[in-house]
Amino acid sequence: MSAVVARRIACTPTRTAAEPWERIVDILAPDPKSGARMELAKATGVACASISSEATKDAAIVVWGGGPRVRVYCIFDEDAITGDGVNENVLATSPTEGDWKMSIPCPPEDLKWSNGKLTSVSTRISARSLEDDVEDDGSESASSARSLSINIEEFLKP
Amino acid sequence: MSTFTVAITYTHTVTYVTTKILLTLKEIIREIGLDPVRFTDSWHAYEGAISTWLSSRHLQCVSLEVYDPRTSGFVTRWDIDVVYATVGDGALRVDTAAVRYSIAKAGLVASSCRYDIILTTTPGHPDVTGWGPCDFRSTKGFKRYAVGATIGGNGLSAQIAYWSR
Repeated sequence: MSAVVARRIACTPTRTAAEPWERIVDILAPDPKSGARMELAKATGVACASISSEATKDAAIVVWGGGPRVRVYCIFDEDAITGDGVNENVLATSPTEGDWKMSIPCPPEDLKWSNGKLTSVSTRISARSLEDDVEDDGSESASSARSLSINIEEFLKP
Repeated sequence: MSTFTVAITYTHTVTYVTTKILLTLKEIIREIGLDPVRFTDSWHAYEGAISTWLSSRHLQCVSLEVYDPRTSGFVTRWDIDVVYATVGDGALRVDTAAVRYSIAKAGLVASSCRYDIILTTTPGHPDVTGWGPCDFRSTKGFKRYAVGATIGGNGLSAQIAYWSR
């Protein structure tokens, strides 16, 4: 299991939806000429819709596979103004080098069109319902976690 | 003992209302049965114009105009009217439930319909690259129905209305 790093980005009302996404791209793909930078730019519309809905408040934008696993959350309301909990520091190593993937959370009703858009522009970036998490191996869904629950009755049988 | 309060400035309110206007438009587009991708692909352009003209207090209305691409005829329109005030309670709010209720009442449009985003400003507004004059399609035979104030903040609010037969 690789290291996990978290970043928390100030959003509304100090920034509109596009501004924190630009900051997130700066952190995840610091080289302005990199292919990752261009790929992330194509996801701007989906990312802005996600941020504006505040899906990224409790569900992280997750990047994995190319370096440290990075979870990016957005900070809203008074905490965004005061900077309480905000951490926008650059990363020691870029997580978007090599075979990286990204998962963007969105409200369930936005999942279909968001993934339709992302599939047309990227093989690395996808959307998931904000109700699901990204597993350590990169797969999504809470349903797979449920399948591992213990049947107490069977467990206690002699 | 020290006490603190967070001051919400007009700039904060502009940022909040801009973001929530765009969120509301995306919700309306999706819920009336159209694809939001064309809208979200230009998110940056809409965000820049709306925040610039809210800041300068020139923005009057943000409209989603839906039309039939075969005839270019009017199908429906959603207007987000901006109301400038000198007072406010300071709280930032968005009432998405009221918007969704109105969308359910207004009903779906054919998925073949297309849409434009049109901003109405008062004279003397600062220029924003990429934006130019245009005309609305005729609303003859349609009535305007008010939803009410759904987005608000410190001295700035947005009221939604839609057009239907």
